[in-house]
Parts: sequence; C-alpha cells; structure tokens
Amino acid sequence: MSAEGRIFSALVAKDLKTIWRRPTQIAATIGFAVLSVIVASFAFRQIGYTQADLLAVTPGIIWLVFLFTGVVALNYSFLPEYEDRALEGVLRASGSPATVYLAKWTTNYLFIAVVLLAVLGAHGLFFGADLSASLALMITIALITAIGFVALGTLLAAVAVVHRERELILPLVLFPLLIPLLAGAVFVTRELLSHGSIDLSGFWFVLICVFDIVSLAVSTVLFEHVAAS
Amino acid sequence: MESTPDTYWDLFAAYSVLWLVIVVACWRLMSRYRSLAERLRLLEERVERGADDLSHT
Amino acid sequence: MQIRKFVNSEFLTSSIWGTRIIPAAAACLVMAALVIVFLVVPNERVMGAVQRIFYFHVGSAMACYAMIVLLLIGSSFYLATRENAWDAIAEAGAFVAFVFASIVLLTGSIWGHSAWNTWWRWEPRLVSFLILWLLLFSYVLLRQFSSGAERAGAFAAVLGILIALNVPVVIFSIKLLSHAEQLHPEVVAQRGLRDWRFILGLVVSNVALIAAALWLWWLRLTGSVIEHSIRLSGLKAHSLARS
Repeated sequence: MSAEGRIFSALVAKDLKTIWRRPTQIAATIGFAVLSVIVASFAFRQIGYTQADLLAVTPGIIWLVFLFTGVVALNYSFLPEYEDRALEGVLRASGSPATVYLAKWTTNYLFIAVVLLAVLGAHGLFFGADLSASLALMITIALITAIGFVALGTLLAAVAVVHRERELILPLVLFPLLIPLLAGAVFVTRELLSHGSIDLSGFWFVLICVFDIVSLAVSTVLFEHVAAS
Repeated sequence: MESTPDTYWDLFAAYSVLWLVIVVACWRLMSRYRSLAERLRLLEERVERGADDLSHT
Repeated sequence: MQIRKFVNSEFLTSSIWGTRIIPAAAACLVMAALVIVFLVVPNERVMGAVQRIFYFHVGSAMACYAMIVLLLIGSSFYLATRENAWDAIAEAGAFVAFVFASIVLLTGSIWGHSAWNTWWRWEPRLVSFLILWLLLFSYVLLRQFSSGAERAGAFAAVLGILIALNVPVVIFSIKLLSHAEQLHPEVVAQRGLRDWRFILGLVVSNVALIAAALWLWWLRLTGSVIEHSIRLSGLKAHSLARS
C-alpha cells in the first residue's frame, strides 16, 4: 500500500473510531430522522390524505427528511478537528489535502448511508408506505445520490465549521447547490415507486450521476483552499 | 387599427428621473471615495513619517 | 500581471475608466435605451405595452451573467495567487450580480403577472434562476458572517466557483422541456424579433445595463478597497503608537 493509501486508511479508521466512541451522536441523528418522518406523517394525515395519496408524496418526504437530517449530521463532521485545532496537523502529516478530503468523505458517506437506511426504515414504519417491492433499487438510488450530497456537504462543512453561525451557514449554502440533485432524486424515486423500475438513460438519472462526478471532483480540488491557510 | 399608442412619455419621464437620481447618487459616491482616498494617502504618509521618526530615535 | 497596480484606492478613484468613461457610457446608453424602449419601439402585437419590460429583463440577466464572469475570474485567481485584490473583484462582482438577479426576478414576475396571470410559475428557467439568486444571496450572507474571519476570502472563492459552475445549468435549463411544456419564451432563439426596432432596443438595452453593472461594480470595488486600506493603516498606526 502506498503512503497516501496508509494515511487514507488511518484517517478513516480514526474518524470511524471517533464516531463509534460517541454512540449518542449516531443515536441522536437517527432519532432526528425518525422524528422528522413522524412529524411529516402527522402533517399529511391531518390533511386527510389516503394511503394512495401518502404513497404519492413519499418521494418528496424521503428526500426532504434526508436533506435535513444529512445537514445536521454533516455539521458535526469537522467539529472535533476544529475544536482540537487538529486539521492543520492532519494536513501537514499527510501528503495531499485530497487524501484528507477523501478520507473525510468516506466516513461521512458511511455515516450518511446509515442515516439513509434509518430514514427509509422509519418511512416504511410510520408513513405506511410499502417500499419492500423495490427496496434494493431504492437503496441503490439513495446510495448513488448520497455521493454528490456528501461531496458538497463535506467541502462546505469545512467552510461552515469555523463560523459561530455554522448551523445556519451550512444549509444556507448547501441547499441551493443541491436543488438539481434533490429534484433528480425525487423524480427517479417517483419513477421507481410507480413503475417498479428506472430509466437508466433518462435525463434525471444521468443528471444525478453527472452531479456526483462533478461535485466529487471539484470538491476534492477545492478542499485544499478551505482547509489550509 | 392601433388601439394603444406606441409612445409612453409618462413612463419615459418617470424612469428617466429615476435613472438620473441613480446616476447622481453614484457620481457623488465616487467623489466621496476620491476624497476618502486622498485623506487615506495623507494618513499613510503621516504613518510612514511616524515610523521613520521612531526608527531614528 | 500585477493586479495590485490596478486594484488600489489611488488607481480606482483617479482612472479615467472608472470616473469618466464607464459612468458616461452607462448614463448615456441607459438614457438611449429608455428612449428606444418607451418612444421608438412599436407595441408588440399580442402582449402590448407590457412587452417593453422584456428589454430590461433580458438586459439585467446579461448584466448578471457578466458580473458572474467577474466573480469566477476573481475567485479562481484569488485561490491561485492569494492576492486580496482578486478577492475584492470577486466580491464586488457577486454583490452586483445579486442586485441584477433580483431585478431579473422582479421584472420577470411583473411580466408573468400580465402574460400568465400569475407572479410565479414552477418552470425550469424560472426555478433555475431562482436557484442562482439563492446562491448569490448565500454568497452575500457568507461574506457578512465571515467578515474578518481567517480564510474568509478562500471560503467565498470556493462558493464563487461553485456558483459560476451553476450558470450553464441555468442557461441550458431552457432546453430541458419540450416546446409544448416550455412556458418561458425563447424570443431570440426563435427569431421572434421581426422589426429592426426590436433588435435595436434589445442590443442597446443589453449593452447599457452591462455598462451600468460595470459602473456599480467599480464603485463597490472602490468602496471595499478603501475600507480595507483604512483598516490596514489604522492597524499600522495603532501598532506604531504602542511601540
């Protein structure tokens, strides 16, 4: 394994250990996701939606809840480094900022994937929408969409963390950038739930993939500038 | 056939006045910046001289 | 190129470009555009008088894109060179772009109110421009939040580049739906301007509003550069007084 590879795996292991040692953070984030689904469920049931109506709004609810939970989770991703002033040291120890970024992206991605599964599970439980028929495809789409989400989120979390108003700044900057991705994810999910399959060459699915690639590449390049002074 | 006129003197007058107000405001802002830049230059000279005096004593 | 030779309080307040040529050009061209739009151009057959807002709507959009080009240039060069001058160029560009994007949304709403009988439609071009406006808004907010903070310029530059990458999406979003579903007019691409006076009005108002945007950009740049230098010399004087 190359030197960069060793640094990469050491950083991922360190971050995973940090998350593992704070189980309350995982529990609280998943709790937040479940709570959001329950609140959404109440809001829509009180309108008088039937089961069919609820299934129709399912794609929107899933991605909305995921967006809000994801931004809460990402807010914490650079907090330990920031509080201990450790990012400088990490950057100096590793050869390139891209390695540090990709390591952070990997842990965030794993964390967000767990959150996503929690959102889908909570949705099945409390929203009454039966996702079991297309669950594997649904999870695949969610994991593909999360690539771009975590790519931009990790970059901008590093920007937001040094500010006192970080909880405000991250969504304010991140959400407008994510609207194309969100629109694509909702459209593809709707397609999946109504047809049971997705069009792999359709506009929105291609948009998601292009968004993933471009945002991951651009963020890897730009991370150097937000992390190193 | 034309039921509405092709010229709008009232709108033209209103927007011209608005635009002239903007132009005058921007122009005055530039003059203010110019005087500020002049004062800044004087201040920087004084700071330079102060630094020289300090280094000589 | 030594950008600091141009972006300093002395050059910005004395250069003939910023104090004479651009202001005069903007003032005259906008006046000319007003004359053409309100006094020369004939009424459009279907829309009538409201169609005249189109000249300012399109012109403001062009001025907004021009300012985003400055934002992109400033942000990229700032990240490459770490010269504060480039950061000031980008910041002024984003600020003026935000002003013109707001004008685009406002005039578009007024037009839509009379053409579609609604202030807003969820339609690709409108939504993507709204996203652009939101991004510029968050850029302006980020600058407020992080003013004086360490690395504030780098953060803003990163966001500036991400915003500029979004502009092609806005421009091409109009191709996203078929013509049947597409409500936002594609006047120029469909050769909708038959009378030469329409074309004259469009060209003059585009150039006029870009000139006006450049002037505002120059003013904003001068203001921020002067503010920065005042703070610097104040700090210098303070440290001298203490030593």
